[in-house]
Amino acid sequence: MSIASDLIRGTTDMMILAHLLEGDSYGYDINKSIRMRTGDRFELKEATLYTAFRRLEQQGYISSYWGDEGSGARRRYYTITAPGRKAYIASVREWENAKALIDSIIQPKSKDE
Amino acid sequence: MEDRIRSLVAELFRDAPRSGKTLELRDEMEQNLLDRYNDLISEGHSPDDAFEEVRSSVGDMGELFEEIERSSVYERRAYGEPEREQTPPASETSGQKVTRPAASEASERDSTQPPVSEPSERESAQPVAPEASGQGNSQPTEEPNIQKTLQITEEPNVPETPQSPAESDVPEEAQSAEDTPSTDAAEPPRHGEPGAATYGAPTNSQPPYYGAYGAPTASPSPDARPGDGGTEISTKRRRKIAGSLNGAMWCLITALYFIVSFATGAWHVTWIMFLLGAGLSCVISYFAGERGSDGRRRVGALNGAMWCLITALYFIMSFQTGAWGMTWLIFPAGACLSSIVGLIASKGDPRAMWRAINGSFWSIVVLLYLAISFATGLWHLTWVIFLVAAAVTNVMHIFRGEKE
Repeated sequence: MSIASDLIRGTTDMMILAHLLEGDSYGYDINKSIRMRTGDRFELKEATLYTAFRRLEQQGYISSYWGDEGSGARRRYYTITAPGRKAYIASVREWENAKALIDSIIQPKSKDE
Repeated sequence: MEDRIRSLVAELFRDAPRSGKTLELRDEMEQNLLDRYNDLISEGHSPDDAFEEVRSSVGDMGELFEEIERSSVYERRAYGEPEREQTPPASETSGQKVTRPAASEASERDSTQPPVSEPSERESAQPVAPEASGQGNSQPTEEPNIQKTLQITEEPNVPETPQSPAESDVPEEAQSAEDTPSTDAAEPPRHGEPGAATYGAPTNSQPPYYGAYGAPTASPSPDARPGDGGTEISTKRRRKIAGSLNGAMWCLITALYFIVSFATGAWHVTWIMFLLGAGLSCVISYFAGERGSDGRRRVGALNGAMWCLITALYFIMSFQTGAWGMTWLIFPAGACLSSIVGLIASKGDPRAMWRAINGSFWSIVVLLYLAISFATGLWHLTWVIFLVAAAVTNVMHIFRGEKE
């Protein structure tokens, strides 16, 4: 499973952007959604998540603001920006190209077997 | 039990770089960990289990602190043109050297063209996707999203490229336009209601704030200039400029003094630079003075400049010629000049005019005395010239009295 997590790590930004396409969200909500989508098979470490937030924010792909829930909870929400949408599209395209490339390398071997 | 989470966070941030960003991150993380902890408790976990799970979910904080330090360096540039400058650090951290530059290339290209070409590429890639075993589940759900975003970005992106205020609007459009047919329809209202209503406002209001800050600071100053104290401001400004010019000049002169002195070794002469500096300083204050009200000051400044120049000249000539017995004559000549300057300056004022005439007269007398004495060598006789001069002055006073 460590290989899988290594593979997935490079796509953290894409995952976050994908989630934010659905609407503004905060750290725990995003991670929970990832966990639910993967059937509890995968989730991001907190540190990885916030590192990605900072990086994406610095790149201008997302922006943040503090929400006030009224219940005493103070959450930081993230919004995807227009450049973030572009970056998301580009990274999805690259992911698919890479996947197709790896498939083309892997498939003959699996057929032989 | 929540205190355990808080003390855990405090422990995690013990080695964090101290900054406002870190404090924000700490608040954010604490709340998210509390949410997680409460969720786990509500799922039936024991407090200890829940705490352990929360603790194990944290990961490597060092990586996060590094990112904070790095982002604080880029902080101010972050929202202007982010793609080009910040892709390198991103590629370093994510380890995707091939992926990132390509992503930035795509984002650099403008709006319509790349999205048109993208679907065709994707269509060719799609047949491969279902074949790819387990991952096939997630892709079909994402694909419609991609196509939707392509449509969205095609239209509004051209005006949006300068970024910012449109940010908060776009998700709303995305939710209303895209999500209704999709399975995500349940989530948008949750995000949309609190998000768009309460948080849409702060994100929108940020850019106008900058404008508002810009406006008041810009507007009062032009108002003040044409207003009442216009000349006061210009005089003050002129004096300020003169003051800083003076400061700069003295620094320069001191530097020059040392450079020239060390270069030539003529320390006995080079100090004259300071005299010239004093003269220049007077010239500066002459130009800094107000023409109408500061008339006297300006004459004083001119006089000062002249005397500095004369003294400097005296030393230069003396050092050059060695004729110290003669060169001092420059001072009575200077006095004569000074009186002439006073005469020119005292345009309307009769008293000042008389004073100036008197001064020039006596200077001329002294000069004449010296010239004649040196020429003839009849020092025992030439002093009589002063008596004659006194007589002339008295006659002049008589005329002056008659006039008045």
